[in-house]
Amino acid sequence: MTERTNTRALNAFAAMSRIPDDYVLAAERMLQEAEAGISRPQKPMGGFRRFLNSGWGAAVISGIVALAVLAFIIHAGVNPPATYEPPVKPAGSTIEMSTEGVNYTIATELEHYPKGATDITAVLTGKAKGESISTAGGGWHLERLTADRAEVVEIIYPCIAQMHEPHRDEYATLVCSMTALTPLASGTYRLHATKHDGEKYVSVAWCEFTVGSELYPPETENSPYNLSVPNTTYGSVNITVTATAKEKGEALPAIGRGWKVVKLAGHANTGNTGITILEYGVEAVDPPGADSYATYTESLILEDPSAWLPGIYRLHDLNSKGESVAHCDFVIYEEGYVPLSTEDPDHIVVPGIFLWADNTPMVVLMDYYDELYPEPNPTYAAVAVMYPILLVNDQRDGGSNVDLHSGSIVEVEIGKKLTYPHHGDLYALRVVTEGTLNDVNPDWLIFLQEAGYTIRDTADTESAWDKDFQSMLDNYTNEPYRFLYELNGETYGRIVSSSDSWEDAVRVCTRHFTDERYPQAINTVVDCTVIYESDILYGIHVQWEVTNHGTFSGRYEENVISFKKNVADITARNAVYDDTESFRINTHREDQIEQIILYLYHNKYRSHSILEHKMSHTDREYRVTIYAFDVIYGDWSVQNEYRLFMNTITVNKETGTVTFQEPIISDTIYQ
Amino acid sequence: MSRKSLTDTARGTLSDADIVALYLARDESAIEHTARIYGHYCLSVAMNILNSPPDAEECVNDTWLRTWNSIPPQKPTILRLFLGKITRNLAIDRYRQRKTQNKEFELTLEELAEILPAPEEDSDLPMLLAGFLEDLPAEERNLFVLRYWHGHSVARLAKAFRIKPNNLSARLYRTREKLRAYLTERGYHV
Repeated sequence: MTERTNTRALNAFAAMSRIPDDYVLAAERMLQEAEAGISRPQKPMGGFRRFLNSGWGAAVISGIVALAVLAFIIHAGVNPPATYEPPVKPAGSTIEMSTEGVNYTIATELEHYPKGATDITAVLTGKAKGESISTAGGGWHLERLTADRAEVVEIIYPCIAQMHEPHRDEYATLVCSMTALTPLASGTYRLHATKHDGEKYVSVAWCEFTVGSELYPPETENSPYNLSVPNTTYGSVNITVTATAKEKGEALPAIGRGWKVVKLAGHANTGNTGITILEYGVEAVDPPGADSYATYTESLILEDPSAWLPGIYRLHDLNSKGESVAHCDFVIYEEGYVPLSTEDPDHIVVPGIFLWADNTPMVVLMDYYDELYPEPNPTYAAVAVMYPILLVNDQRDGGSNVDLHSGSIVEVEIGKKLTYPHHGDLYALRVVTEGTLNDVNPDWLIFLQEAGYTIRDTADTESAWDKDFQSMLDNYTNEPYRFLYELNGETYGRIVSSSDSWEDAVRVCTRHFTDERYPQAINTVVDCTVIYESDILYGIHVQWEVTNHGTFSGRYEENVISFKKNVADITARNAVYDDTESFRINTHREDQIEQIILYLYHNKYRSHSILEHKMSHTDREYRVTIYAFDVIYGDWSVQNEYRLFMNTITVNKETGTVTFQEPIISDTIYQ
Repeated sequence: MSRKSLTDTARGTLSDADIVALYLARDESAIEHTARIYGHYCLSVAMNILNSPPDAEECVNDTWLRTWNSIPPQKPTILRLFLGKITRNLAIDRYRQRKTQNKEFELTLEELAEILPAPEEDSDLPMLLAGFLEDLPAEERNLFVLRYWHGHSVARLAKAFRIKPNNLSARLYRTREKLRAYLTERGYHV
C-alpha cells in the first residue's frame, strides 16, 4: 500500500469511530455470543430452509414433530418434565416459546436476588452427556413478569461467557454473566436463552427468579415437620438430612419424594450442582412413642463436590407436584475453616453497629447483602466468616456506611440478648477479628462497652507520627515518583518469584519474561544473568525480544530481584503464567525483614516515595510502619497535591505471612 | 442504607455509574476499577491494530490517562464503549507513528482504501457511514463493524461464526461494494 493510500485508509478507519454506539455494541454482542457458541449469522436460505420457513413446511414439520413427541410419550410412558412445558406467553412479550430446548436446563446463580441487583449469572446446561450446546441464537432475554404482561429488561452485552465442551460422560455448560441496564425492581423475572429464526426471537430454555427486598424468604409456617442438614465444608460429598416431627408422638408423612437445593448466597456456582440419594429412608415413619419425636434421615450425595462452592444453601423437600413442603438452610464453609471457641485476648472484638437518630445503638451483623439480622442464627453468622465486612451505619448523618475494621474475622458467635426500643429483644453477635480499627468514633466504643463488649486495640500506639510533613517534604531530595531501587550501583525494577540458586534464579526470571500469549507476538528472553547476590536476594539482568509475525520488533532490558527462598518465599504475580501472588518471610532477622519489606513496598506502591520507616514487634508479629508520600501533579493554576500515607505491614512470627494493610492518608498539602 | 455499595464492595466490582462517579470525584481508585474491569477489553482493541503487546499495553495505559482527563467534563453512560473508542483512536495514532506494520491490520486498511474517498473529501464521511450502516441488515452490519471498527481478522470472525474464511471475505466484499455504490450515488469517488 502506498503512503497516501495508507493515510487515506487510516483516516477512513478512524472515521468509523464515529458510527452510532448501538452498532458497535450489537456487533460485540454477536461476536461474544458466537464465540460462546450460542449465536451465529444465519446462512442464506437454501431450498429446504425456505420450505421450513414457508407456511406449508412449518405445518408439515410441526405435524411430524408432534407425532414424534406423541410416539415418544406413548412409548416411554412418561410425560415430559413439567418445568419444560412452554409457559403461556404473557402479553407484551416479544419472545416466542419453543419446545426445542426441552432437555436444556437453565438456572440463575441465585433463585432470589435482592432488590436493586444488576448482575445476573446464568448457567445453561446441555441436552445430553457429551453433546455440545449449539443454538443458533439471539442470546439472552430477560423479562419482568407482571400480573398480565411481560416487560423486556435490557441487559448489557456482550456478557462474560464460559463455554465448557463436555467429555462424553459430562454435560456441556455455558456460564454467562450479564448486567441489567437498570437495577432490577421487585417482582418475578423470566430469563430466556433464545435463538433467532430469521424473523423473531424464540426461547429454547428459560427459568424464573424473583427479586425483592428480602434476601431470605420467610420460613414455611405450614411445614408439617422440621428439616435440618449439618453445615459442612467445601469438598464434602455426603450430607445427611434429618426430618423431625413438630410434636411428640406425631407420625411423619412420606418424605424425600424429591430434593432440591438452591443457593442463597455465596460464591457464584459455575457447574452442575446435582444431588443424588445415597440411601433411601422409608415411606413413612411411625412415632417412636408418645413422649418422643419421630425422626427420619436420608443420606444425599453432592455430585461434583468441587462445584458446590462455599455459600449458604437451602434444601427443599418436594412433593409429587414438585412443590416445596419444607426446607432448611445449611452452609458450605471455606475449605479449612475451623471455628474457634476460645477467646483470645489479643483479638479485637467488634460487632457491627447500627446507630439510630436518637443515638440508640443496635448491635447487629450486616451481611453480604447488607441485610440486618436482628435474630441471627449460626447459619447467618457464618456469612460473616465468608464475607468479613463490618460496618457502622450511622443514621444520624443520613445513613452513611463506615468501614469499621480492616483485617479478617476469625470467629462469630451469638452474643447476649439485648433490648432496644426500636426492635425489642435482639441477639447481638460476638465477632472476633484480627486487624485494626479504622478511624473509630469514640461514641461507638462507648456503646460497645456499655453493651458488655471488650475492645482491645492492639495497634502500636507508638507509631503515631509526630513530625511535620511540610518540613519533611522540604528536606526531601530524591526525585518523587522514582520507581526503581538502587542496589550495588545498579537500578532495579520489579520483583520476580523467589529462587534457591543462581540457576533457579535464571530459570524463574526467564519464565517470568517469556510471553507466548499472542501467537503473532512473542516475548523471548535472550539474556538472563545473575549480576549480584546478597544474603537475601539475587539481582538479575534480563533482556527480552519481541517478535511480530516472526519479525524482530524490539528489545527490552531490566534489572530485577529474586529473593532467596530460604529467606523470603515470594510468588510474584505474572499474568502470563499465574495471576496470584503470595508473600512469606522465613527469616527472623529484623534487619533482613525490614529490608525485604521495603523492597516489597516499592514493588507494590511504585508511586510512593518513602520518607521514614520504623521497625517494631509484638509477641505475635513483626511490624514495619512506613511513612511515604505521593504527588498528584496539577496543571495550569491547579497546585500539586502531596499526600502523606501511613502504611503498616506485618509479618506473622509463626507463619511468616506478610499482611499489607491499606495505606491511610494522614495529611495532605497543596503547593 | 446503601445496599448496592456494600454488595459491590464485597464483590469487588462497581457499575459504570459508580466508576464515573469516582472519576467525577477525582478519586484515583477509578482508574484501578476501570483497569480491572475493562483492561482486557481495551488491550484486545489495541492489539487488533498494533499486534504488539508492549505497544498495546502502553496504549491502554494512555487510555487510562486520557479517560482521567476526559471525565469530567464528559460523563459517559456506557464506559466500555467510551474506553474502546479512546483506545482505538490512540492505537491508530500510535500506528501512524511507527514504522513496523501489522500485516493483518494492513489488510483491513487495504480493503477500506479500495472503497473510501480521499482524505480531503471525507468531511461528512462518518455521517454517510452511519446512514449506510442503518440501511444494512443487522447481521451484515455487525460483520462490517467487527471487521472495520474492531479490526478483527477474517480468520477470527470465520472461526467464531463457523463459516469458511472465503465465504466471510465474499460477504464483506459484497458489503464493501454496496458501500462503494452508496458513496458514488452521493458524489464520492475513490
